[in-house]
Amino acid sequence: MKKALYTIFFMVAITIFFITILAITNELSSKKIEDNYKIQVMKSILYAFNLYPVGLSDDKIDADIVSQDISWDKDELFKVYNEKIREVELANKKIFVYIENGKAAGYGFYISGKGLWGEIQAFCAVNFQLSHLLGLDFLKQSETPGLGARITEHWFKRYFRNLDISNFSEKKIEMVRKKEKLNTEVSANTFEAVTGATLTSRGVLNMLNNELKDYLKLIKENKGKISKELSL
Amino acid sequence: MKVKSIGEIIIDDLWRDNPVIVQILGICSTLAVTNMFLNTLIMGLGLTFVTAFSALVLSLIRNIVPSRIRMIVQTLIISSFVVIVDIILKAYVPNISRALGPYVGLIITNCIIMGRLEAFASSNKPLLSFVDGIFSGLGYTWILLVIAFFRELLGFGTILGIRVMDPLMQWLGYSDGWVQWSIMIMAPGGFFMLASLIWILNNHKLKQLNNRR
Repeated sequence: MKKALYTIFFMVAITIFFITILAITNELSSKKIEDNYKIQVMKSILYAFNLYPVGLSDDKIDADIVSQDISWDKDELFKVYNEKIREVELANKKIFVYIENGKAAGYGFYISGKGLWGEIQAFCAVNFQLSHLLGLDFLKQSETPGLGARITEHWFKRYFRNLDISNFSEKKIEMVRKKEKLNTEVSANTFEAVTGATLTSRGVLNMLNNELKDYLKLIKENKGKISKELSL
Repeated sequence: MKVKSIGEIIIDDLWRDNPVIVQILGICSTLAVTNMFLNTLIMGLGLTFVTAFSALVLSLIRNIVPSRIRMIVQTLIISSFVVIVDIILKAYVPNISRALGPYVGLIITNCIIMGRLEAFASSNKPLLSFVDGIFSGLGYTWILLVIAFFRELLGFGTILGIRVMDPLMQWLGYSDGWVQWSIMIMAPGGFFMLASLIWILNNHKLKQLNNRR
């Protein structure tokens, strides 16, 4: 009996001990993790709108370098974001507006879909005419590191720059095995799949094709309202 | 039982009794993360941290842990340290945390950690257990790094994300650059590399043993 009580007491005590340590660690880091996430979202939004820190541009990034992070100076990041990006809400959906010279130059929105292992969340940006994608960046994914997770790398994401969606209602976005030229060179409605991660790539394709239609319609119908709300 | 010296522990963990090539432990993550050198390095360091500190804590309380719940206690300790690693990565190296995705959480299931806790830390002093934890983790890490080096180099033509093979091939006169070996970045490539490495290293060990005789 004494032995059983000791076992229970020990298990409870050690569990409380470790929970306390984890709670303290979490408390000390949660603010930083939250800030990191906010900064990451801002970076992603700017990346999708093809906005870079001074001196950097899409073609200056070595597409083969795996790192997915664009290093912004924190002050510059906030300055550019606050100057160029505004938010409006339409039909309970958040729409981000990219402002250039006092006029709307593009629209952005969050989209989500299913990957191989879990949900993929992304930020998608389209131009003012709603004819081409400006870019795409991924906010959350749980794909296989080194395979499906490569969708977060620049070489993959640059296929979404200037991707043609002018005839989207009839001609959806397509995925191809090999793409010789980027859409910034020869505009097309295709992107190249990640080798060895066809299901993840298809997840990205389905996410875009499923989500874009509604957003394009919503923005098209409310362009005037957006401009009015933002006094553009 | 003869108590090992620190030197013996280090040599055993890194070479003679290496967790990957001799004990064939931690194979799932070996196959999964080794197609990129940086991910592998972080995974290895994460595992080393968890193994070392779990071993230290378990060794400190080894005499008061009731034997019938020792495995639950080990799991509790390991998972707590894994959550700490996850939080630290998210807070201080968010890019790597995102790149590793679900694999950080899966450190919990790595057999090496529980193996060392059960086989060593539960019956040895804290310092020795801590050293054993560190070097078991490093023994796992260096093997994974060798595999990752070749997989990333041949599969992507890069090392740490920097293009290496393209300039090399162009320097050798092949204007098309490096044709990626896609199989190397997929799981079969991991199997081939791991099997080849186990074969080469164990062959070498056998030769050393025969020479000594």
